[in-house]
Amino acid sequence: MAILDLTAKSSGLIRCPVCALVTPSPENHPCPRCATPLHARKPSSLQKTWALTMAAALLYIPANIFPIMTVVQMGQGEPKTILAGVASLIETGMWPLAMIVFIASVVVPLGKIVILIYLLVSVHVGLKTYIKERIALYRLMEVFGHWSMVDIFLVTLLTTLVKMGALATIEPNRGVSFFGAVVVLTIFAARTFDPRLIWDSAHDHG
Amino acid sequence: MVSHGIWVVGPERVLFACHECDWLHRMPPLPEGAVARCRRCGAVLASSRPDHLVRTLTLTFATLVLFTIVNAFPLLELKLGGRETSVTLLSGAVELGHHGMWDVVILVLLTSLLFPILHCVALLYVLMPMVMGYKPPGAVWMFRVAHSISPWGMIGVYMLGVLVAFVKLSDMATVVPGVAVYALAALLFCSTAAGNALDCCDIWRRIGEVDDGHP
Repeated sequence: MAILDLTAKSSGLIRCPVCALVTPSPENHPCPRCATPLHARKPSSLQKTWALTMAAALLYIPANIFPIMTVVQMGQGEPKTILAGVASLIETGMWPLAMIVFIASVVVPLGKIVILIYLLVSVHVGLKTYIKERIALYRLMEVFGHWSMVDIFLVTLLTTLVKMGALATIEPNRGVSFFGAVVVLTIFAARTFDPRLIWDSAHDHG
Repeated sequence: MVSHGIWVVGPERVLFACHECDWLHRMPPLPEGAVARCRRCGAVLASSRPDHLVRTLTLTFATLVLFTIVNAFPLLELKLGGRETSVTLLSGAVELGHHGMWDVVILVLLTSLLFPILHCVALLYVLMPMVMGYKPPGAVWMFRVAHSISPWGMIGVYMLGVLVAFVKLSDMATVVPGVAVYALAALLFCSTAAGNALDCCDIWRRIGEVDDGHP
């Protein structure tokens, strides 16, 4: 068993990301079983993840400045941003809903961006401690990442349902597009990050 | 030694690398219901699921049938001042197009409708012939498609969106949950169970065995 106290990469092997076959393949050759191009580590993982994370962080600003929907009741109402929407849910006493929307639209995307930046920086500086904790953060991000889509689905459902003419209407606003872009970018960013780099950098630098 | 396209170390042991930390393991055949975890980071490497082909096939087929029901009936109906409106999976997705937000329309259509259905179809295409004992043409490609689109199906998130919309609107009008909501809940159960029943390693092994012409 001693011979196996190492990683696939340090043994000159590559694990296929799709079918999990472990082969002594050269870099960028197709997997013998499923033809997926093989790489010991996701190619340019750090650069791509930085680019996608920064793009998501930038777009998160217009996603919050622009309103996402307008609720008009009895001729009254004005466009509301994500945070104003949460505030109005609290005002009407809908605490659980306010929590769900706040977590899905603020905590999850911001948390993802912060976690990604922390993981990227920790790999760059070759941090040797908190490996298990960083892996736990990575897994957390994978599990909860796509729940920020709730707000997008909510806007589509509300705008389709509430078309009651003079009594009540709900209309979508431009912020939805920006927020959708943030969600997609953070999902791509989490997928281009290679968690094996956390272990690699902890061992290479020492 | 290479056997059936799988790198084998010693008798009955397959070389396995952790997807999260790349640590190498020699994997013995797993007893039924067993789960193999990475020795270094604890990630789940593989698990052995009895009758997984038939179970996954049945549950995936049920998911697809439920999808047609979800699409045929309204999710929610709203009654206010003698007026009535309703929303379905498709009408909700397309609505934002009337406001010129086609980017959001595409995002919603893909994540709530097209990717989940395509995932089911790709799984059925691979599993149905395999249960009957042969390998369909292009099985490798179809199973790769299923693998790459599965993280983009967001039916569970959509269900939460429906529940939030229901509670939020019940404040201002009468909201009636439609047949599709119950079908969606059942669909969510079936697709999660299908995902849990699926043993990807075994399916790749079977596809690989038939594809043994490779070096």
